[in-house]
Amino acid sequence: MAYIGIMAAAQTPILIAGLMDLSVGASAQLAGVLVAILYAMGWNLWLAVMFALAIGALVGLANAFSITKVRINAFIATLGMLNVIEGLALVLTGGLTISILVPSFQFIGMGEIFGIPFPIILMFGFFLFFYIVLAYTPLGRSIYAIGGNPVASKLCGINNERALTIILVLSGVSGAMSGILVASMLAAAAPAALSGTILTVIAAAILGGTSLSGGSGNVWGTLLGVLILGTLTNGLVILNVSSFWQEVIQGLVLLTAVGIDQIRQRRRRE
Amino acid sequence: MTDKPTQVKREPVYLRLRGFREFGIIIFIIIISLLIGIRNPRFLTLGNFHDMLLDTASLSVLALGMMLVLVTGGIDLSMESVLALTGMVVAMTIKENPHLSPLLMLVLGLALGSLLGAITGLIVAKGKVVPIIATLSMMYVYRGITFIISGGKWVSAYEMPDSFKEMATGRLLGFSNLITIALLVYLFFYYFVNHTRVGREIYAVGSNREAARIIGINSEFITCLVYIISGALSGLAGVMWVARYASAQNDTASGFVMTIVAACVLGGVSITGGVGTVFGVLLGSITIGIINNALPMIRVSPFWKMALQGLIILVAAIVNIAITRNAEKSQLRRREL
Repeated sequence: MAYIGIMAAAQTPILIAGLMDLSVGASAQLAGVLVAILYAMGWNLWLAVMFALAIGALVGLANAFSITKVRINAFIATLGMLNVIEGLALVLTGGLTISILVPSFQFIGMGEIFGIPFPIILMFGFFLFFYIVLAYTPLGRSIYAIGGNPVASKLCGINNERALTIILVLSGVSGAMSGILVASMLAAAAPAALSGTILTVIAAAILGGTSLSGGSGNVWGTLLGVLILGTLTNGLVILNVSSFWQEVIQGLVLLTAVGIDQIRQRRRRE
Repeated sequence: MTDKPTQVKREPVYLRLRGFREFGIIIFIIIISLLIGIRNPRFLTLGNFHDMLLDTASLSVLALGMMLVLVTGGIDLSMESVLALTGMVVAMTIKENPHLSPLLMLVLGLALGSLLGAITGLIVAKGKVVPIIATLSMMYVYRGITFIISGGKWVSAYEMPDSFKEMATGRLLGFSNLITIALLVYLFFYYFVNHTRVGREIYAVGSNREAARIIGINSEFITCLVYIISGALSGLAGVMWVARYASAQNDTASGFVMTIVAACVLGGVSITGGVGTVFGVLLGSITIGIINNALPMIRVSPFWKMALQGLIILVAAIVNIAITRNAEKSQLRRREL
């Protein structure tokens, strides 16, 4: 679940700003594929990782360009980008899975520090980073302002475009990081391994109380959402529930969790 | 359009067209068709045009349902699963009772779809659950039920009677029945959305929920209604889909919801609600249909297909934006005159 967490942490500020980045899952796929291919071509592994992260940033920058400069709706801009880079991952691999068997690379996905799995440390690192950004930096505060009312924030002298560009680039990098993480866990990069994860990522953030219309939310709520979804998937497998029923139960639990949250919020208001 | 200032009449035709909101997407469709036609002349034949419309029929019906939900400011991710579930139920029914009329199957699809949509609608309208989460949950639930009732098995072409498959292969006035169905749906909804009270109320709720409530519109009813409609249309599209591909699978249309939303947004529907036209959605669906139909015709490798699709969506969005901005500007100018 750590890779979902990393993407969800980065998605939170984007949702708070009233946007959506559907392309993170695809960035992740592309990053995994790039590392595998470049390593197979004889590149230094860590150089390949750096390169994949840079490409992630570039994807974020391209998203930011089409959203803030060309003014395409964020949903459609990142949806288009999703298709473009997922397609590129397919083209690069020819649809095949490429293995990366390097012990030092395995550490990212399988290693432990003081008995704590490294992916979890990595995920917490991302959450802590986005928490600090959102709660303690001018950038974070301006993101809430943009989500609340983009016109007002602009009139207040906030540079909307710059703030949005930064969080979209961060989201691209986070996407690439989770792709590298998955590639390391599987010791392979598959071009379509992560398609469809984006809905889970957004669901986690919304479960955690981030508003889809922007303006409110925080990363710790998102972390809770990730944990709920993670426990659910894992629990159903351990409880030996038939995979046919798993989807039904997953849907119902999701609904119940949000329903309870709704009732609680209504009570508080009353 | 009736109270245009006299000045406008003197403007040349191309300037008047600029004020037309769907102009951008029409230009895009024409340009891309010509470009593809140059690469492969067969693309511009009537036969191919018919095939393309046939493949677009179910998408266009789905996009219409999605539009109404988007207009109220919601989103219905469960459409693809409603499609799969009704498709599966209908296929299993017709397999057991091959003598039943296909028309009855269409009714069954509509009814089951409305029922499933009503459940989702109640959760959103009464339960006040955020639409994206409610419909995502129901997407899992309905997909799971599809697996459970079918036991993971398919219904294949040989298990379906010819009368049912004729729904896709049969022709009326030279058009496949599926195209006729889609056309009838569009005519009905064009009237419903533009000329009935409830249709206009959908836009009112989407533009400003609070104001709509104050002037006495029952916004809970409207919200529930749009999900019932999107469910019904998904059910209808499910029957069309099964008839077209002559098979019902458990993962039918899995992931298709993104394409539906893309068709809507290309057609000028706003994700934030309040904006969208029936005609625009039709054009958006046709654009997606052209892309899907044309890429294999100009021998694009399937691996490139996805990347190109994304690029074309982006380009269409940019063209659409440029034209819309232009249209708004010229409208402003007219007001100043």
